[in-house]
Amino acid sequence: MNNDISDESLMMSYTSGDAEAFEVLYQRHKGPVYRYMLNLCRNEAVAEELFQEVWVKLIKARERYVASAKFTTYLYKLAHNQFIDHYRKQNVRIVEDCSVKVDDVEHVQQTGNNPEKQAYTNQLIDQFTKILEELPNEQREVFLLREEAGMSVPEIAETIGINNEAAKSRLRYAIAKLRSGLCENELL
Amino acid sequence: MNNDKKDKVLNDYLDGNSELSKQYHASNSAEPPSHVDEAILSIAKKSITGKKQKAKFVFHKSPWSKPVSIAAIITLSVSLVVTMQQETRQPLISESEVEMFDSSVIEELPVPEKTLSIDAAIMVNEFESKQEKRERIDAAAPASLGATAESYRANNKAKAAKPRMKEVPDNRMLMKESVSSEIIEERKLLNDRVEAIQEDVSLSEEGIGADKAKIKNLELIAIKELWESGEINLAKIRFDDFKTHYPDETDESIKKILGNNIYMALIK
Repeated sequence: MNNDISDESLMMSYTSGDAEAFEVLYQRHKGPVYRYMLNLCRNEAVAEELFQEVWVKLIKARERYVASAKFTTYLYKLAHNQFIDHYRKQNVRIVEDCSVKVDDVEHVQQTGNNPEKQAYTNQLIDQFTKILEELPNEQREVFLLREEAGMSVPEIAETIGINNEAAKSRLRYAIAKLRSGLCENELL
Repeated sequence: MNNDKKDKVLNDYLDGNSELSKQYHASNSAEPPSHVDEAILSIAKKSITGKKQKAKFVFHKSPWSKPVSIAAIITLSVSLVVTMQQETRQPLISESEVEMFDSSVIEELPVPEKTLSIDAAIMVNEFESKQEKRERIDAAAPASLGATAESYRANNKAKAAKPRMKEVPDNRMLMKESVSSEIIEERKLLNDRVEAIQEDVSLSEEGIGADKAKIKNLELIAIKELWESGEINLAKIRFDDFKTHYPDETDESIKKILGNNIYMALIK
């Protein structure tokens, strides 16, 4: 299926009974949504479970989807709510001590066969991941929405249900902390 | 860092291709496991297929469900009504019961009404009125010289002789079969009564015939006595009246009573 077709058109096609449209839509967004969940939860098993529930909810709620709503906003709103609901049900305070090991991540950018370069790349990933984990959840989330979903500030605000200024402020702090951390580690 | 500098950093970041974004994407390229992909895509396909099947079912169901249900309701209602009617309309007299009666008697019997006691009363009244009618006919018979009581009644009987049982409409049926045995008994009684009435009528007809012959003889004897006592003119007048009333009376039967001489003298 043509990649030029918008997410909204694909979703409407799927609602009309086109299973292929859903597959295209899924291939487009599965990685970003999965990484969004993984970086929020910092637990691969929980991330998988929540990721699957987000897509199942999208399938079940397809008839309520209206083309006027941007698909990305709709999808990440589902993901955000799924994340919040999960931790409310578990009655677990989202703490900062969870961690996602780089080894759990399947893909590691290949840098060739040079062992020195490979080691340097791994070090970069480790350090960046640690810096990202150190961000508060609210700031990390707006950063992830920006990076993974490519959302603008107003879209981020709409997705997580806050005003634009709050979204902008959170994003500003997140960038500043990440840059600071990367500079301290001489990665930037 | 003042606000302007912070905004500049933010705007640079939002413009894209920042070093921060590159660093992030370099360290985050995780993908969901393949089994999760398969599970989600399978659910998506099944959901659509299930919906199509449901839609097909609704398509087939919607145009026929109403007519079929209406037809079923009508069929059930009609069969129920017919069954109830058949149960309630048990015939007052079955065909086997009808065969028990003499056909002539059945023709004479009136059509039974709704209740047994009323039926019997009506039938008795009708027979009594018929009996009175026959008596009137019999009384009038001698005066009407050309027609006998028997022929007159035979004519009336032919008019009335119709298969009445065949004319019994459906609504003249009683509802309970248990009543039919009582009806049979009462009909038998009525039948006996009818036969008795018919016997009485035939006997009275015979009596009337004998009386008529007796009257003729007495009349001729009276004429003979007038002649022998010398009242010849009076005897002739009564003889002329006799001949007028009884024109079919033969000369031989008259001579037998009057004698040949008196008869010849009266004729002169």
